[in-house]
Amino acid sequence: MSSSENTGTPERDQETVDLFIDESLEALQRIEQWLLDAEAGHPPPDLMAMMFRDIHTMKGTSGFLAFERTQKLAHVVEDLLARFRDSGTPPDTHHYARLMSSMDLLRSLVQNVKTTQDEGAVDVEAMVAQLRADLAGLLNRAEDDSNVAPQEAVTETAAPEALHEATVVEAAASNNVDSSDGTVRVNVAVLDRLMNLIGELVLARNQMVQTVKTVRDPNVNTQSACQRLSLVTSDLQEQIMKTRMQPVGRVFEKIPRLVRDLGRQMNKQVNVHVDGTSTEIDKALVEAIRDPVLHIVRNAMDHGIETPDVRVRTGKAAIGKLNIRASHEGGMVTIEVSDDGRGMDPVALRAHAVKKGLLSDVAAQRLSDREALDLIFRPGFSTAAQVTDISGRGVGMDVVRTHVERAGGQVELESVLNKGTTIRLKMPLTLAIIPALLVRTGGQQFAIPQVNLLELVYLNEDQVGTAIENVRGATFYRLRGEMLPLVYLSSILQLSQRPLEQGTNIVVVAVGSRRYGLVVDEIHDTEEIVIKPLHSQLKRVACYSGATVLGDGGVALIVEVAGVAAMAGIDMSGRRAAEAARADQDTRHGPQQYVVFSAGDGGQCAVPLAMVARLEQIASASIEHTVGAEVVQYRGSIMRILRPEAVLPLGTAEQALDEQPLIVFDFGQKIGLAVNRIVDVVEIDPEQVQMLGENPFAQGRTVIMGVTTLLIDVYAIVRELAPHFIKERRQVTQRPRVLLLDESAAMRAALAGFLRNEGIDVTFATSSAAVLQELRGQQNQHWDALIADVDLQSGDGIATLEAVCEENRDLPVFAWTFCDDHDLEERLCANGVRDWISKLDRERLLEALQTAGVLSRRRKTDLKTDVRSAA
Amino acid sequence: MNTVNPATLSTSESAMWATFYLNNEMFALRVEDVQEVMMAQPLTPVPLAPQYIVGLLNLRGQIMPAIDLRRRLHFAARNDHQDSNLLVLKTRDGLVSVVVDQIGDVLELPRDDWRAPPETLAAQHRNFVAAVCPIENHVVLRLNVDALSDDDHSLTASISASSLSSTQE
Repeated sequence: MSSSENTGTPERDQETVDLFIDESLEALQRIEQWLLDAEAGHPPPDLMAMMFRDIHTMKGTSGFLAFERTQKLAHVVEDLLARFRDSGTPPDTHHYARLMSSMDLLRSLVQNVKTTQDEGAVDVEAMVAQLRADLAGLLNRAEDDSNVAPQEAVTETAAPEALHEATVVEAAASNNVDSSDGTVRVNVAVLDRLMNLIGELVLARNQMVQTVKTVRDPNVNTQSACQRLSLVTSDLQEQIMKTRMQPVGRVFEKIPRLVRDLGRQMNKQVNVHVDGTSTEIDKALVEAIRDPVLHIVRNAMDHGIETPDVRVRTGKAAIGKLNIRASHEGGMVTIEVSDDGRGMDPVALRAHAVKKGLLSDVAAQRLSDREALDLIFRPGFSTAAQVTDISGRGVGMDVVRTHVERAGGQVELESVLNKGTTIRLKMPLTLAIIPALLVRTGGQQFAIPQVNLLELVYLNEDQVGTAIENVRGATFYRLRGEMLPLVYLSSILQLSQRPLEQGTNIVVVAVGSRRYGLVVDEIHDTEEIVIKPLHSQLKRVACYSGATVLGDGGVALIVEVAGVAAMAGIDMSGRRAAEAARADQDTRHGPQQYVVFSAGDGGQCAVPLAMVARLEQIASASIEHTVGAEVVQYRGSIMRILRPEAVLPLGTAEQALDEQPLIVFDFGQKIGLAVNRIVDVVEIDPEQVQMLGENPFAQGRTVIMGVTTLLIDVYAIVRELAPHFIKERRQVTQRPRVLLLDESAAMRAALAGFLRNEGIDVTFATSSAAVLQELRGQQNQHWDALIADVDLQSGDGIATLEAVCEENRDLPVFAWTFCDDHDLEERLCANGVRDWISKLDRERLLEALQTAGVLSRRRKTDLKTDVRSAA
Repeated sequence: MNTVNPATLSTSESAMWATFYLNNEMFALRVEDVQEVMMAQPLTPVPLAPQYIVGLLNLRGQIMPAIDLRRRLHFAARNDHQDSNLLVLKTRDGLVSVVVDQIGDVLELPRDDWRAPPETLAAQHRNFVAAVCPIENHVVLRLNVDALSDDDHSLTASISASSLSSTQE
């Protein structure tokens, strides 16, 4: 955190100082080598220009950081170099020596800064005088060579002193421990290579995991080695990603200077406050956001912050404020630039858009204030009353938005008239490896980046006819009351169309705040994919952002969601604004968005939209009933379904629904709330909510669309109906304790390693008597689950299981068997056994433990292969 | 096919050339530009790509376009139903694979024997032929690898009437 103002001495920001030290020492090292080469008779080409650039940077930075001696010395050296560069006069050995000793002196200054945070009392005046003399000599030589000699004689005597001083300081510096011992400089090319290699490794790992799964090798060593490989690869990937991370502060370092210079030019006074400079982001993205951020700062200076007299007249402090803040938020990096300037006037923006011919008068008047603000992102929109040389450069916010979105980010805007403007960039952390949804269309696989994904909708052939509407040639789907434009991927890509009878899969995607539905043939798994750039000849095709190698070795093209929208001719500027307004509200207090639904026998309820992971519609037939619990296969795992009427006074639903709407929540594991109908998403003002004390499952009551609506407490309902889910959250650090009954020593040995690898604390029992003793015993041991062999030699396996279930209703009990006896399975499950698991299927065992909440979900990067779509 | 006179070799610089056949013409590439040679591979088609890009090739995790050289060079499609071969080339834009009719020998040709392509070469081919080298009773055409990545600007507009008859579409 730092602050600096253009009026006084800047308080030095450690980050900037460190950077200055690194840069300068590097440059001096470079220059020294060049000078040595030059003295040896083979100067590098462009020596003077190259040195000039380095010294010029040093001068600028030291000036900005108020290291006056360094700046002064660098300045004179720069003048001398400029003279050589411009005149083409080759320096002689005397000049090389002089430059060399100036570099030594500069280095000792920088070394002092490194060790003491200050330049120290190094005398630069003597060296400055000598350099000036050299410069004067050169200028004179151009006219008259005779003047050089006496100048030389005078200055030469002073040199040893300066050098002596430099040596002393350097000696003092070397006594200090060098703080950079813990870091190593690595060539970026090596990092890029590493990144590519880890990409390949991830692919190889994916193939390996898939092979092992398909082969179903019962050898436990293969499986656990494979799992180990999988985990290590994920960790390795994460670590290598980290090596590419750079502090976002690198983008900010130029800002204080920029603001100072602009402030002077425009007679504006501004305090810059920079925060979160150490927030890290992928190297490639640091470059991608540099220009947009600087442009936004220029805009703020130019259009936002007023001149001091205007500010004072409007009751503001004469000195404006500009805050720049970077932070991590939900897997994204947010960069916020806010000023306390004049803000944006929707009325003026509308008028301007009409004047520029971007909108008709009528259309402009129809825009809400919020939508009017979004006008600044339109191409060809520039708000400055007169075009200034600061930001009126023919590029505007539309370019900022394009750049940011191209890098996978989003731009958000907030502005209050006379209060100020805030612009937020939300960027992904990295670009190289991303989670993506794999889909199939026209017989080919494509990957859609998860970051663009909002939800998946499946319509069966009956629904297709009614839910998809044609409006003047464009196709729309009515998604919770909103018209979602549909784009058929197969027709955009000119691939074969699939007959409609098979139903329609809609992938709802978003670019920034625009959304549309991408219709594909099939929806497959999500996978971590490695983005491989396309050859230049394919880059012209706007609908792909790259390609990736899949687990099976095939290649999938990565769909560029923005490109596809452009090709489909979707323009949703008005809609975009409405969406932005909605997103905006989520982040503020005050009115909140709620999902309104009817449940039970028709009572209306609502839950906060912010809590909802997804809204889904599943076939009622796909709901499975196990031991009084309803579950459904959902996105590769089992999702528990809860019915609100079980705890709320709603009456029982009529069982007539073919399609069961679900509201999906994510409590570490997904939980689906079964409802009758999702009515709408509405805004509820907390002031209008009547609190209810008597019902523990409702937070309050309000009236929505004329109907009394219960605001339900999902957390309380889940805690009541499926306590394991909540328990799992609390005990996440504890290893689950599992009791396992198996008579075979070999099986026990095989499982021991496997389960412990999964973080399970397993205790083995060899007889049903031991199990009963353990569970009935007075030791008061807590068990998270029992896995018990059904076919024991003693013949009492089934009886034991039933007894245990009877006595321990809260204990998840699993039957563990080699046999395939459906009747027995049904009987046991009816008597409280959670699941019937084949001894050959260890993955199923883990899955069952996860479903029961015994084992926490595995890491996201672990691959799921046998995934069936919920829809 | 190594029929070059040894006397010529000793007196002038020579280089190794990888050759291949396309539409009965012999083409040559510097061996350094060829990473590997292989049989036809499964390719992933790229919808909306230029016609001559027949798909993407996954070569041990590296993804590269496969260019059908016949289409790229405006030759007629093949009709003999024989298996094609793939050459993986190193270009300034990274690896590119090209589909050719058949792989030929590696030849050692003296550098001095190369000459500018004849004026009579059809315009749509001329971009892709960097030089020609006569050997025995036929001519080796040197493929301009970098031209494969160039845009195909208005070639059709300047198709010359006079051209090598064997290379006409």
